Formats: sequence, C-alpha cells, structure tokens
Amino acid sequence: MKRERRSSHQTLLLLGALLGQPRSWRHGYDLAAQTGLKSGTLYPVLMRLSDRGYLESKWEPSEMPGRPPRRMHRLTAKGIAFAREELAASDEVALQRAARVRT
Amino acid sequence: MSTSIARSLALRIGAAAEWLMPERRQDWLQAMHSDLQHIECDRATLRWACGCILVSINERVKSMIPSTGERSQGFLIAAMLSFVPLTVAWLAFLRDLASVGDFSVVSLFGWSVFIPFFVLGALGPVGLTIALRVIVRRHSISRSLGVVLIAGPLLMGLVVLIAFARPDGALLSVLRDAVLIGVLPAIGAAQMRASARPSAEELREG
Repeated sequence: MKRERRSSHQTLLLLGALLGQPRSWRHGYDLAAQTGLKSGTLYPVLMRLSDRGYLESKWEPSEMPGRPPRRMHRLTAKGIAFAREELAASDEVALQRAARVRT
Repeated sequence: MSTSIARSLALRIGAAAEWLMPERRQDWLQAMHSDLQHIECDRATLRWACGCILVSINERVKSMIPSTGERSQGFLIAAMLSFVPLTVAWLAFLRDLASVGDFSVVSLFGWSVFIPFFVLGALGPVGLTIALRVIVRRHSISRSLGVVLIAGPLLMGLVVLIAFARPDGALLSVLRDAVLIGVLPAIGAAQMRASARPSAEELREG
C-alpha cells in the first residue's frame, strides 16, 4: 500500500491560520503570534509554500510612520485547496488515532 | 541587559543574516527584517533575529549543496554505469546456470550463495533500467526504492566476501569484485537518490 506523506505539524498550524482568513493579507509576525511558531520555523514553511505556488505575497507600506514596508501573505486558490485537503486528512488521522486508543 | 541593547543586538544579527542569506532568498529576509522592525518588545526582537540568522544559515547551506537541476547529466550517467558490473556478473551467473544446470551450481556454491546471487544480482539490470528512467525524466527515486538499491548490492558484496574470500586465496581480487558489484552500485543508487527533482510524493510534504 502506498504510504502518503502528509504535512508537518507546523505546516498544518500555519495552513490553519491562513485558511482562517483566506482572503486577508497577513504579515509574518502576525502569523507567528497566532500559531506560536518561531521565526526560524515559520519562514522556511512560508518559503516552501510559496515555492510550490500555495502562497502569494506582496509588499505593503507600513501603517506605522518611519517603519519599512511589510511583506504580506495569503493562500492562493491552489493553496486554499491544498490547505483544506491537508487539514481534512490530518483530522481524519487524528480521528483514526483516537478510535485506536478507544478500542 | 538593557532593552535598547537587545534591540540593537537584534538589528546587528539581522544584518549578519542579510549577509548570509543567498541572493534568491533575499526578499524573504527583507520580510523577516521588516517584521523585526515592527516588533514592539525588545526581547522579542532578539528572539526574532535569532530565527532570521538560523533561516539564513539553513538557506546558505542548502544553496551550497548541489540540487537536482544543478547536477550534471554526467553524474546520473555515472550512476547508471555503476550498475553495469553487477548486471554483467548476474548475466554471467545466469549463463553458467544454463550451461551446467541448476543443481550443479547449487551443489558448487550452496543455497546460501545461490539465492543471494540470483535475487540480489537481479538488482543490476533493475538498477540500470531505473537509472535510465531517472536520466530521461529527471525525477529522483523513492526512498524505499533507494534503500533497496543501496542495501541490495551492499549485501551482494558482503555475500561475495564471505563466500569467496579465503586467507590463502586471492583476497585482493575478491575484494575488487565485492567493490565492483557491491559498493559501486550502492554509491550509484545513493547518487540517484540525491539527484534529480524530489518525487511528487515528496513534494506533498510540507
């Protein structure tokens, strides 16, 4: 049987956060605060998602005067489909594990 | 440590990270750096900057390792050729089998040598075919197939060593055979595994 490799826990956390507000542009620190991921974990995941076409980014001027522009991110349509699929699969795995524990 | 020192240190670390980050990822570092300058808590800036430098080091190391597309076709052709000695040895074994008969070979070498030779030797032509596919399609082999193609020939080399190496015999020639039909294809398979693009299955991993 072919074993399908799923996304890491950190990726799922990030996908969940991005999918929560799919049309909103979010900056990295905001996503880090929501997911609890450190910058050293968050950004590699963002880069990977972007490389695969799941994430789009744009620069926006900062709301705070004198601060540099911020890079904002959101899921692409392909990314939204991917996130839904991965999160559903992880839920299924969690349910299967729970069922195994109960029996 | 005063908070202003923490922020200033964070900015210095951020600058070092910028220096380390490969060119193609500079925009990402700019994004991290921009986030850093928006963080209000000074201690948090230091933690964020440490993350920046870790990401930069990681990306720098990755950029130093030749990846799939960057690897020349020559590497993959060499990997394919590494399966030739094992294939030739297996074909010669089959030829001997046909000429002297199954049971004669078994009685000559014993089942412990006959079976590994027959089964593991088949990895020669299999490896050749797979290597050809890797060259044409530029896709890496799966992890499980990689393990089989690395461990199989190594086991074959070990069988050769155990079966034929005698202290009084030609140890060097047995060692050479073990390297040619055992170690060489294993290195070729490892090369194939490391080169070419990750498989579709691997791309799914986040």
